[in-house]
Amino acid sequence: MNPKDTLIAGSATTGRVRRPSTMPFRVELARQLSQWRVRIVLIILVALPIIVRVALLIGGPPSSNTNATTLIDLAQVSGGTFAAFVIELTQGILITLIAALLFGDMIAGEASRSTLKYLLTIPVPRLRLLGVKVAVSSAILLAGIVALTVVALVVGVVSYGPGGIQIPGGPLLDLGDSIGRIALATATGASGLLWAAGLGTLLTVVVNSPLAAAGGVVLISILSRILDSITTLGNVRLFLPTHYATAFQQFLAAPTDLAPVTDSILSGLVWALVLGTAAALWFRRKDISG
Amino acid sequence: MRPARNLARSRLKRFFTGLALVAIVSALALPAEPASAMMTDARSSATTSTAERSFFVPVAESPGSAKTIDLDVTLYTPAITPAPAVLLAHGFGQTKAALVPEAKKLQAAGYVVLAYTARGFGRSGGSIGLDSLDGEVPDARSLITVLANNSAVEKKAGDPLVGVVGGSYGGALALMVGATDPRVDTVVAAITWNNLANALVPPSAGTVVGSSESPLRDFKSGWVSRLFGAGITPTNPCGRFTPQFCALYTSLIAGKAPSAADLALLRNSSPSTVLAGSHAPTLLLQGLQDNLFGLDQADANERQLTKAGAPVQVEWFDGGHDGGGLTGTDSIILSWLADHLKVHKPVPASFSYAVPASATAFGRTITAARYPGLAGSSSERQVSLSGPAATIVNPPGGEPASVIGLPGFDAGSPAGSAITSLIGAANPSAERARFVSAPLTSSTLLAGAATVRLDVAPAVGTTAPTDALLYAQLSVTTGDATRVLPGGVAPIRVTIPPGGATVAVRLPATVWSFTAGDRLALTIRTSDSQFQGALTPAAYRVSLDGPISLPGIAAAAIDSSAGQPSVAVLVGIGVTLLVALILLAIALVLGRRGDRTVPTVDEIAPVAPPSDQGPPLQIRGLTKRFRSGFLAVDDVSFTVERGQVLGLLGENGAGKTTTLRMVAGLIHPDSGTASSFGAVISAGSPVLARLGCFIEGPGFLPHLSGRRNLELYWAATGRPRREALFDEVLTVADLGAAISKPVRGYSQGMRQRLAIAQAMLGMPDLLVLDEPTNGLDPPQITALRGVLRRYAESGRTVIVSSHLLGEVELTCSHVVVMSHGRVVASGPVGEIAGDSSELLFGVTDVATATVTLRDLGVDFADGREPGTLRVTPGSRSVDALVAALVEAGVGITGVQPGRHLEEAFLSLIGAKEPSA
Repeated sequence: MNPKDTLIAGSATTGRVRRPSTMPFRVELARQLSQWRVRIVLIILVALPIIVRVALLIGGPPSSNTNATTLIDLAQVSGGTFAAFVIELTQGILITLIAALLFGDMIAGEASRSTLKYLLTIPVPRLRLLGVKVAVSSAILLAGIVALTVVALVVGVVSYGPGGIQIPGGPLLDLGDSIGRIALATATGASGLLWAAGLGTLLTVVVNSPLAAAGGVVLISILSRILDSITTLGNVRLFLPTHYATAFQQFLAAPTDLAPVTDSILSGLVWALVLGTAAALWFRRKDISG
Repeated sequence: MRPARNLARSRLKRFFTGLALVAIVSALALPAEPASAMMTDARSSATTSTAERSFFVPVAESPGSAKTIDLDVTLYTPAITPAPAVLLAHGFGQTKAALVPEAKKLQAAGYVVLAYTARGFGRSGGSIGLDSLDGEVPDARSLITVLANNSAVEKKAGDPLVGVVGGSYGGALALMVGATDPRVDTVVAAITWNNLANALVPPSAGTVVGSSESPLRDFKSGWVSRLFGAGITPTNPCGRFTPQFCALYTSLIAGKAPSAADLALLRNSSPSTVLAGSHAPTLLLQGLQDNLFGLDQADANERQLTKAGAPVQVEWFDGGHDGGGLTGTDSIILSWLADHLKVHKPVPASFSYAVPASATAFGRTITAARYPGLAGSSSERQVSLSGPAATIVNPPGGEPASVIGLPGFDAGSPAGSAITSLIGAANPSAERARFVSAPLTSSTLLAGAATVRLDVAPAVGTTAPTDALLYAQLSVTTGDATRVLPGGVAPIRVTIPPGGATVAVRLPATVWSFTAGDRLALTIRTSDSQFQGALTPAAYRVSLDGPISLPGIAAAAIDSSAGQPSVAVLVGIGVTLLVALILLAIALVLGRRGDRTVPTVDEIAPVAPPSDQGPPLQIRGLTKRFRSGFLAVDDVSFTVERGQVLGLLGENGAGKTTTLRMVAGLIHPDSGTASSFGAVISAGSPVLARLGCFIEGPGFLPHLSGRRNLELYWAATGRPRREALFDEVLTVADLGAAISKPVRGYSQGMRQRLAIAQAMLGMPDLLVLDEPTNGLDPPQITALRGVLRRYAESGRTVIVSSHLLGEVELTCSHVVVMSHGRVVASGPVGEIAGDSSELLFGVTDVATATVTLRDLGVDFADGREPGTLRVTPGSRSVDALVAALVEAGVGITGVQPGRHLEEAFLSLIGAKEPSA
């Protein structure tokens, strides 16, 4: 007997088709990780601290400057400071770009390869497809960022010794405290990507080209930074998504002001919620042509 | 049609409205940029009947004189009158223009404000008398009379409600007016002095132990010359100062010690002479970053006021002449006035002081139960300093003088500390002796005046007592950075006997928070750029005698709100997370609701066989108009029964693909329904699991192999692998070894076959194929035909859309013909196509052939093309017909089976030209 008949017969008694869980997380993860694009992004994130270390090696030690006020001067002082330096380098354009690539490709990439319609007719419910893809992209992005931080710490400690973060114009923190701070700085930096994830999700369901979706996120990021630098806008700048992009630096400096950190989290959550809801609503009602 | 477009537009409108609402509501949770200590000025712009009037008030030039000078004043009247009045006095070197922001704030808070330019400044007449009891103080009393005569000022039994507020120069004036005029109800004096002699020509901070001589003085040349410079004019090197002050300053700046007359003149300009008669509640605000009027001046004021019985409250804030002036005190002053001018609340005994921010901590404000003075209230912390006894020299002329700070320069800011350390790098090391502590083991809070003992001896042996002039200063080293503690430098001027002496030094009172690991340093110098110094060269041997004592003040309450997140933001985060969770829950619930398929089946029969569930596909009234206005599908209805192979025919643009996309749930119909096995199809309906679709071309991940693509596709269904029937499906694809190669290397035909195979994964009950033969060569088309036939014979259903009519005729059992979005015909193939036994004769002479065929009694009709005839042989054999025609002399050019479906199709869709 056709296995399907058993399924249907069973459903006839309950009046309900027990649908199996379509598009499991691991399947989508396998699909994403099979792409070289994603693999290269992860490799770059992991290799970046090594590249920075080699660059510092080639550049030599900094000229002795008793008034070192920036992390670049202090980067070679201790392992913790090196890790903090790497985090400062990568926050901003690099991880925004990676978030744009991962989130912009989710639905638009499937549409451009004509695989979207086949996924939807399995049937994978639209919101479930969007949800699983967002979850996978978030997981890959977070894994990349965490790997970057961990590798930076390891490379730093191996190269420059197990000291903590050297505060410019302040004390040398101990390693345990510094690891906690670096972890919190990484988390804050990730929260600064929430808006990019939301915008990427919205663009990926609206446009049919993954390049346009990723490019849109990067363009908005740059535009937001430009507007943010126009200080005469005053309080209007609070609504710009990248206004709190430097909040992670609070954990790498002393004393630590938690106000920008919580502002950054709130701003990221609000933007992600608004844009994500818009994306979900749009995707639900969209006519799929790809 | 109109309604469809309006429906789409209204949906879009609702969508954006909802979006805007969510954005606005969530944006309200974000706080505005943290306001400075100044209160918001929302009220100032709303008043409509406030007034501002500038005029001149004539006052007597000196007591008892008939000559008058004019004072430049501005009177601000609030919206609601009568109101209490505030007399605002400005700082040295300023005019009433500097008071405008403060005056406007007070006006907005509902006070009558009289801001004036003191005599000797701006447009006011007279000479600068440094708040003398014969000049500026009677001026202020006259101005209070002006307020008393103003009807807008609130009066209580004829006594006007007046408060006097001033900073620095204006602060001393406020204190002196408050003490000498009973009409004054409250006084706010900020960063001001008690005894001008002690402030400008400070007595020695160190005294020889065991000696009882009166302290020698040093001149604060740095600050005083700057103040004097604020009064000079291009025409007069003495500026607008009174001749006495000009002479006093000239002698001091030349290096002469102040005479008794000089000190008396300075004392005449000091609150210390009159505070004994003060009764009004007084607020003393003193800045920590103040080398001109330090915390000791406020301390002296407080003692005198308390002794006089006036209620007084002291507050130390992080500001002052060397740290931003009065910024940050607006809210304190406004709340004081609200408590003690508008009403008469008792003055609390508490004392609050600010702790400046350090390298590792934010600034905070600590409140203590009562004001303890400069010696602190809790036990003193002894910190031992170490350092070798050093010999330090005072160069001839006292130059180069060591630079620790500049007057008015905020050394706490990053720029300030960078610049002072830059300048200070040139300080000669021979002029200083440094004593440093070990890294502190625990955090300490210094609040008050630290004390230490030094041993000072002349370096060169002498027989007479020498006049030693030294400067003591504290600094803290955190990690790599060194910071001078606020409060400045203490001048030590003592007469030491030839053998040397122990000097007890009292450093300037200050507040600092030391963290563990900080190192405290005491530096003794022979010169300081802000002091007069000694001209004669000298050398001293300096060493420490004991530890340094750091007083502290027991804290009753600590306000450390800096660096903490605001509650509004935390609440906002909670609210947003809650909203997100709710939306997620809603999405899950909506998803579950879509799971219901056939709600009433179990009511009909406990176990219903699958065949009772409805036809595999039933379309009723399906309509779709695109946004461009093009009506793609217009009221399409047809039904497909089990076991059928349905052909969907139509020209390009007929609406076949759009209909099939609606069947697959990819497009939402404007009206009508498509249902499968009794369940209505919409996006993501579970019944779609029983459909296998191939629509508008293949779609694969190009970097993966064909097999991997199929495996991932099946894995995405979530169903067990054995249900996929991979082997059967791969046989259909017929790709051979290429199945393991990446899809990007496949030809169009290979992709097509693989996509059809993908549609067949799991052997779905309904197979929907849109133009499956695109790109396939004839043997593959034939193979596919066989597959579809067998598929249908196994009890499943197939829908094929095509415009290859011959194929459809061979493959399909039923046909639906669409044109311009409508169904023009539907039914079994034979019915649409006509009798399959028809033949098409190509003849040279149609007329003769017609006659011959009629004689034979067979059915015939004109063919589409000229020279052809359609003949139904019936019982006659074909060769008999041919023979008869030839016999009749008709040439036969061809005999072929009638391509009936094509003709039927073309006639149905009304084409004028033969199909390609």
